Amino acid sequence: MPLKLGPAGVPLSCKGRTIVEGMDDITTLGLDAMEIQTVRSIQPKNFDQYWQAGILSWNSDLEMNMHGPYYAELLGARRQRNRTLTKMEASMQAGKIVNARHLVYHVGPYGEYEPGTETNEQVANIFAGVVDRVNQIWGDASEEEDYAAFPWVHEAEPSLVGIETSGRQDLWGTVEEVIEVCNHVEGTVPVLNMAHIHARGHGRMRTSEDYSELFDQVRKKFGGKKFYCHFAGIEHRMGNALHYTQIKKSDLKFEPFAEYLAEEGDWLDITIISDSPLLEHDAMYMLQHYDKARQRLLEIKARDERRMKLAVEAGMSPEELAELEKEVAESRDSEKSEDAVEEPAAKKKPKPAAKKKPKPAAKKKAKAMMSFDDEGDDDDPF
Amino acid sequence: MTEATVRLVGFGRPEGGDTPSQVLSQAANRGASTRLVTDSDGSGLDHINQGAIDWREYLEATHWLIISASTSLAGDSARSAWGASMAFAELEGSKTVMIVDMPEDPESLDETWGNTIERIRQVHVLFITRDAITKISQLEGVPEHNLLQEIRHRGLVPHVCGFIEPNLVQVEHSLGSTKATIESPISEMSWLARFLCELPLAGPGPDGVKSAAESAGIAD
Repeated sequence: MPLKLGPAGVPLSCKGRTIVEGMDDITTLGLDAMEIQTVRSIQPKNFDQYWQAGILSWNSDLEMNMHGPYYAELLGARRQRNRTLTKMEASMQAGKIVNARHLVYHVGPYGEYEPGTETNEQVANIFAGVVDRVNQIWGDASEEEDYAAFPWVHEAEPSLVGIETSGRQDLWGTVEEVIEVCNHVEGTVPVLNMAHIHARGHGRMRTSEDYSELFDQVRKKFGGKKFYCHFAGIEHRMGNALHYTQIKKSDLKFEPFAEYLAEEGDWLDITIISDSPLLEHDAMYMLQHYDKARQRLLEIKARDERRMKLAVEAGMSPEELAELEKEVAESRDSEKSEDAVEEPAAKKKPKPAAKKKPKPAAKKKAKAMMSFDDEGDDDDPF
Repeated sequence: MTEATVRLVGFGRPEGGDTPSQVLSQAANRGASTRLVTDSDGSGLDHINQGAIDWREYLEATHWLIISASTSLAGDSARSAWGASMAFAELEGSKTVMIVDMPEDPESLDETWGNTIERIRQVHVLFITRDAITKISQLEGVPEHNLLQEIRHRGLVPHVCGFIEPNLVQVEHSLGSTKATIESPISEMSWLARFLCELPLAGPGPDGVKSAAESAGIAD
């Protein structure tokens, strides 16, 4: 499964503050994606470093992405909408220069609109225009000679336009709304901001099953396999995001997501951006948990394979092995119940401590994923 | 007596006079425990050896880290230290207070505001000075009277506050909004220092914020 992880911005621990220095740091940390957040500083004076970032991205596996204006009002009055579109235009231009694979946009408040099909149509119309504009910017044949040193401008696919879920009830952007619009506008992808989905759903993302449900919903209705997600801790109340926190301090845990990705995520092509206050630290934390979940799954598979191998060596078929295991389990259960009956008598004469045997590891439920605990915070990357 | 338990650490210029130093000075007058992190060898913030700052030691058991947006313009070293302070505050459990003030060159406000937005998720209290409110509302194209609320909603900053009139302060917070009248003529930094001293002791919920905002505006 292609999984890319990275921070939303120049890493906090980066000594330099330019995007290129940030990209170097991200690569050193073993991460492979970055989302540029400098939405207010898209100015011609910064374009030199954007070109450098584009070259670095083109020559490496580091995926660059760009976040549009944090302050969007696409459903506002004409004046507000145009102001937002002007800011979006700047990020589209910069997206081409840095070879952004995704341009991520918010829609903003519902404004005068009511949630529903009519509003979604309005959003879809706006994003159809955005996708057209992105394709115009990327596919200008007359610029081919001018941009000879920047081959992605003509060789790479244009940036995909990501539409982000929102974390407040008064903002457009439920999962359903985002999927509906993405379904209608080719060239767009849903941006699943897990913190927002969790907050808006009153804390709905708790288990790996919840992630399974979410991705199944998106797969059924949207159909694609490319996903772009944001992940951070969040404090929420009454279905509204209050503020972002580091992952460890939130009721939104990454472990269930890692478990889902390791167990069922083979079909996904996913980029996860950490937009936690601890940017790259939490991105590393996510990577570690994903690796642990995969390792755990590998161990379970290896154990199963070993069982099968031993069964074959003993001349048993898988069905016979299953039958034998069932019998052993039943006899173990009946032994346990007998022990329970005898226990009051045994309590009068306590057995010597030496006779107490720990449960063999093989008796543990094989298929259940182990949950990660944070005892001692041993996996803290700092 | 209880005010002495509030601890503040500021990051600012060695000569003082900048907004973090003003807040520390006012908070110290209220009995808070304060420390200023600055360049120790006198070469100025723009040449500060940020690797030598033991942020964990400074921020341990500290309620508030006070920094100003203008500091991000004081050179690469200062900006690195400015960013590092927020990361360490997050790790140590201190809350970051960002003062968005007018830089010496008012034209640079665009840049300092951009720097602040980049770090907005690490900010717990965003205080925007009155002159900066006017300029930022122009930059963002948002009416002044909506600015604090909009920033709070879009940036998800727990507290966004500022003087909307000379004697009226507005605090937008996670649980609502409150306005408090300033009874005596006090400076913005003086009100902020008092607010930060009161807030940890004012109890939870919107009532706590309201109480802290009002107490901060009452004359001694």
